[in-house]
Amino acid sequence: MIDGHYLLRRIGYSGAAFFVCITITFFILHLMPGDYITNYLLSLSHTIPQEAVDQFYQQYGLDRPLGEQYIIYICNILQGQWGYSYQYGLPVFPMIMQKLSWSLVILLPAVLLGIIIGIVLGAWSGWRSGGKKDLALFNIMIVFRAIPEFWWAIMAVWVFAFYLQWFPLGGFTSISVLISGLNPWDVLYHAILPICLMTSFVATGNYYMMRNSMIAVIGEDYITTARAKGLDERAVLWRHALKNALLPMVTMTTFQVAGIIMGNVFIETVFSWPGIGLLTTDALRMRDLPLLEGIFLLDALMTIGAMLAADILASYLDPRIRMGDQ
Amino acid sequence: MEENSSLKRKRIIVYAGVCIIVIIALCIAAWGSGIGNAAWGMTKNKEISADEVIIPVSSSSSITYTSNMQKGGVPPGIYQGLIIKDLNGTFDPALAKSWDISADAKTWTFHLARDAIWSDGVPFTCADVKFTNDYMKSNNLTLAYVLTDVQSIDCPDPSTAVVTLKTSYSGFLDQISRQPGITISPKHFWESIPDPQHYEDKQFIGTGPFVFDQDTAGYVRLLRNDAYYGKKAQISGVVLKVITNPDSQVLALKNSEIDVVSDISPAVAKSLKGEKDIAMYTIKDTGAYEVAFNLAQYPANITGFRKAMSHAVDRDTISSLFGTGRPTETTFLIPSLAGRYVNPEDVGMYTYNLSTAREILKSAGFTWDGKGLLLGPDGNVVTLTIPLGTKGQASGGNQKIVSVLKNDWEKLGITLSTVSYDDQKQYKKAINANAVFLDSFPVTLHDDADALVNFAVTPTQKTNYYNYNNPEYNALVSTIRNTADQQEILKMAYQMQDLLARDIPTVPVCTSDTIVAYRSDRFTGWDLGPGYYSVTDPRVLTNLTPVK
Repeated sequence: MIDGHYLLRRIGYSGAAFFVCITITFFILHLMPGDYITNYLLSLSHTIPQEAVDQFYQQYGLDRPLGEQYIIYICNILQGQWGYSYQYGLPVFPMIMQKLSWSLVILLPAVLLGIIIGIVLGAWSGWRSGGKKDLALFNIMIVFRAIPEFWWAIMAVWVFAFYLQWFPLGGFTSISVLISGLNPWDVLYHAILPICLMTSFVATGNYYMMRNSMIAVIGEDYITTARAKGLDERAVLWRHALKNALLPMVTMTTFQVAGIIMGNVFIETVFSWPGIGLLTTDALRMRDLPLLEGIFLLDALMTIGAMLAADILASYLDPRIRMGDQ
Repeated sequence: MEENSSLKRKRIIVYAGVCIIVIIALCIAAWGSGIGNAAWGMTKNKEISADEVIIPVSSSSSITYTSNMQKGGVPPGIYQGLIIKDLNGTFDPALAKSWDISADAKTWTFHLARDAIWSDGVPFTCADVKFTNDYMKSNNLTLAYVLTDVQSIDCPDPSTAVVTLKTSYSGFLDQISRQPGITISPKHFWESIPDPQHYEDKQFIGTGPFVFDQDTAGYVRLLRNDAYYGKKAQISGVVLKVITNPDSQVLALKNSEIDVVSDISPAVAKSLKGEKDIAMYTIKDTGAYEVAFNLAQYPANITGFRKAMSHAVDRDTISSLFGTGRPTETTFLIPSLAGRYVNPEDVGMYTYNLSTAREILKSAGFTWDGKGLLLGPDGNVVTLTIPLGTKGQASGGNQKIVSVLKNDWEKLGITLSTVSYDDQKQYKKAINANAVFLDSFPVTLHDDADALVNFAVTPTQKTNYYNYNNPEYNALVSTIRNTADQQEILKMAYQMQDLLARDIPTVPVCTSDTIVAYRSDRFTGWDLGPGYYSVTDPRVLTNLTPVK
């Protein structure tokens, strides 16, 4: 159970944590070596007049003291102004939302499927720990997880897209989009391979966590009691063991869902899926500060929100957890 | 109670199961439809015209910027400048059909194309040229610095633009045509836009051989401009497809999903040899590498040291490591691009010979200790740290050069280490703090007399990369700016190269090539020779012919 006053206090702390996060992010980003103007101008020419360089610093407000820049940034955020990307000249928020929506097409189903599959397989495997089937599944998962994500992605493209030609090589639509417009089936067809790969990776992570959690639970007294009551094994597993083993998973899965905001750079690169992950690395490379600040601001918001949600969910799922009563 | 919670659990299980089934069913349905489409050829190139060429690009940001005037990076073939630099160092006409230069190289008169029209049907005039200059400067647009030398532009009539410079500048044509160059923008469109920095241009009104059609979900499509005043394209359009992974670009070429892949490695080129309907060509000298000295740092401030090191760079071995490319034996300019501007007397001066290097070091006051380590005239062991920037990293060029240098320079008793920098600003700082650095310049900075300004100190260029400051050299740069006579320019360029050969602020190492693979069953005409290093160059695109 969660106390109302505690919840309010918790929300207040979350707000403070958010403020600290964006402050740290702002200063780290601004203190990073290098800046957009130097990177961009030097990529154009080595002989740009210093006056022109100074003018750009002034134009982007980078000639002001860091404290002043920070105050302007906070004031803008409070007014809902996320600024304009240096690189693209576009407002940051719609840009992030556009890329995020494309990332969600693959990440949302992949994370949901990965959580469900990982929990079911992990619970089953943990319940049968030490058995032949458990060991077989456990080793398959180890092999899968031990090989880097990008290698699997490249192999998947090679086998399923190039040789078998079951799936497209990449991108999120076929070239027919230029004639017939966006077709949701076509987008989904392009998303299947990245979704399958991402699902496999999310599932293996959850599998380990759930398996270990289940192994810890099966030795508990209440499992012995349930068996002594004469319940069959399936009922003990799904009614008693699973619910208790799920508790540590709540925090992990809420973080996984929150982590969607950062996208997946490897998958997006290999499958030419221009989502938020690629946008972030591109912005980092070019030192596009407003864009980076926007992305990290949203990430902080999601992560802190996920922590709050995890607390509330945990107290809801386990009545023994009481928050704010002391 | 027990029944209720059991019911709840069952419901959750059913919901989760339904979720999985729905997602899997959707995927299977999409897969089925995708396979069907592939079987009917829908996912291939059938739905767009067979005459449209499909070119991969590594990111969508590389082809569409918000404003053509702010950044200069826009879909190819839409915008044009007054002139285009030719591969032989001369200039091809574009919106300017011809031009005159005053004797003091201060007034440039451009005779504009009379039949050029914007893609929305409005005629192109001198007012657009004048507007581009004025608007870019008044709005502080990024590329306005290219026009810093322009005092004013006048239009005595709609098809004549008179550009008056602040000071004489014989390299003005190079300035406005060399990357990034300046393209002319339509006055009638941009004059009503008060904030071009944050304006998202979705119309891309230009005068070039292609017009913008659409930018949709990872594709940018351009169509042939049938009203184009110059050489019309034979292809009906260009589709730029975002494929971020270079390996996938090659697979897409093999699968006929795209028509060309540029900048492939020699290893990939080898693997493509013998592939049906795939042909390749090499564009020579697209990248250039140098071992440069910072003359403000010890021991590079000693002429004898630089001279000795110029004989300790094994260009042949380095070139062979690149797989493509060849040694550069000039003082700075690349013969295939700079042509007659290269002073023949200064070619082949820095022959690789470690014994010669050792002798020169000895005569410059360097000695060796008992362990064979080189001691400088100050009596200390000579150790060098070479900062490595991002430009030479892409092809692994830096590492290839360093591996050879380490081997040779250690034989001379020099201990060599490297530090890599991902950031341009840090790299610039590092090269100012070290005696030797590696750099990779675009070939457009090695192709004419104007490129030699890199070594000068002038009122607008307070310092240079090499901290080289030779009054005689600086005077020649000032004079060359004021000279319109090509023979005079050539003579002074030779003198400047003589000075570089004597002072050795840099040792050019080698050039590298770009390998391009294309579908020979789709289009021909890709290879236009040296200088055309981009497959999206409008001159390449207008040269393509569909294979019937």
